[in-house]
Amino acid sequence: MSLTLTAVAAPPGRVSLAGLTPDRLSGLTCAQIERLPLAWGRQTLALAELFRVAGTPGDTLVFEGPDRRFCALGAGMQSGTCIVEGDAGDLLAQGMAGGQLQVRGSAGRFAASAMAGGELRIEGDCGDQLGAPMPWLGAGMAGGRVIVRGDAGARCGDRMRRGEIYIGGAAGDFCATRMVAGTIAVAGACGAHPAYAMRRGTLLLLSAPYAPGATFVPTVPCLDAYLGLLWRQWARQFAPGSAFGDLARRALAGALPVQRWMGDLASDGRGEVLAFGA
Amino acid sequence: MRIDGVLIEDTFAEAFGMKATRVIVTAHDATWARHAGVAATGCATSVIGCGCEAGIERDLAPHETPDGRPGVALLFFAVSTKELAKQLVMRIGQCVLTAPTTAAYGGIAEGEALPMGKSLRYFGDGYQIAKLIDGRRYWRIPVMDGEFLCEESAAMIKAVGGGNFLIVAEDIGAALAAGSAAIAAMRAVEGVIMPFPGGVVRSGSKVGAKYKGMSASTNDAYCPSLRGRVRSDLAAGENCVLEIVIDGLGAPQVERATGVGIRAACAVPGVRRICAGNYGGKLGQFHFHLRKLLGEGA
Repeated sequence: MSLTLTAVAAPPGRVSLAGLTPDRLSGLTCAQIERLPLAWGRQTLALAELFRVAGTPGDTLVFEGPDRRFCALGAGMQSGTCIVEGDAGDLLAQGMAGGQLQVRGSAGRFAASAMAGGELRIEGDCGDQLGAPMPWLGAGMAGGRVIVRGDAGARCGDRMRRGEIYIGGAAGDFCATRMVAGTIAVAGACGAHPAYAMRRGTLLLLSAPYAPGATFVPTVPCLDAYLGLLWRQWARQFAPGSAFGDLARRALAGALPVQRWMGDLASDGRGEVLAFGA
Repeated sequence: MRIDGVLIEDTFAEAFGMKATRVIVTAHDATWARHAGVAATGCATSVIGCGCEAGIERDLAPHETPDGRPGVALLFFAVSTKELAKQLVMRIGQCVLTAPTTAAYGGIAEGEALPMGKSLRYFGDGYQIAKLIDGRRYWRIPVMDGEFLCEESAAMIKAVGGGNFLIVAEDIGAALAAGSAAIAAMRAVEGVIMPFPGGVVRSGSKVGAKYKGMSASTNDAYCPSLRGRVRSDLAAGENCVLEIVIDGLGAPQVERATGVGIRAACAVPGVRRICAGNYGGKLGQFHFHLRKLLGEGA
């Protein structure tokens, strides 16, 4: 069963779609869904003022014709599949705990903030602070998996605690800064100051050269078992043709040179940067 | 019932419910994986004195292991969850963590979690790293050759311990040949171990003893050197008895291994009959009737 929400009017400003998730809508009728209030600043709008509702509420929810001013798409999602046919605004998948959220376009800032589980796929680019905490929170992403096919903005994975982030394109400045734990893999270029103030966690740079700061130290990469597990997971998870799938298959076919640094010694110093570039 | 002229006695093996887990140990090459596996399952022949019964289930090719390196599958059996948890951490900690290049993974998909890396990570003295891959948590513990990677826990399931059969033969040569043939055939059965040295045990026991504090003592009725002195179960010409004990992840596996082993043993010249050890059927919850599992009347 699938429910489709098609945008029929431009939002008057930034409108929150938090809570419009398959798990929450599945118990409602279309008429009830049309009456749901959407937050627009201190005011609310009825959902029917902006969306046409069609189909049957169930495991799948589709947003058509969305606008970057729709924020918090998929926020709090627990289960099911949510598909966004176009771009998504800020706070995409905020607090998501389960299910699959697919965005056919690009996403704004603070995507996957406080995400705890499930999988988020963004076909386009992603704005700044992917997986980073909102300014009033101490910790970022707490679990789940984020796959961005394009580029990610600055401060990707800032204060991230758990989970996995895969950037198919380039990452902006300050990638993996203040990271507490988890894994971030960047297939393309990486901006300035990666892993700055990293405490723990792993940053994998698949092709970008890494110029370590003074507070990162080179160590011997004894990673046979860990990378053996990782490449197999990637080979299962990513199809041939994707940067991660291809690298994993290349690594499984023959050993791939890797360099390892630990840091940031100015912080906890137990994080690691693995660089596979020449 | 006879197989290759060997009498199969109309009796049954009495086995017990146990707790079990499987651990996959991998290493840089098969030799070091086996060194670790042999050590981790060493001195684990009987729960009476060893705390657990353990053995190498089989060698694993690189494509069968989680990290793509050669390995071994180990099975551990104990009488309680608490004892199995204690033995697992001790044996993986002392014999696998210590062995060069090894890594340890849980080998059963679902079941109650027994701590493994969760306890051993403290050896890393704060430099250990946790990684979640495909929903499973692993610990990377720095050691002098690099890293010891150990899964956080191994799943425990209910299992069967103490399946058995006895090979009664004309002489030690025939008994050893039959025991070896049986073990070679039984090793092809997945989910079982034969925990005694070489899979064969000569010191079959009876319950109790004349001495205080001894819960078990020699099975005098099957000792050829006591025939004529005690009420013996050995007839003339039956001069040597060896036993094979089987622990399995389930009753079907124990049954299959018993059948395979008996058929292999019966093919060896000099074997007179096959029987099994039981306690009258009152102690163990699993009864493996030899003739039934060998297909009599089927």
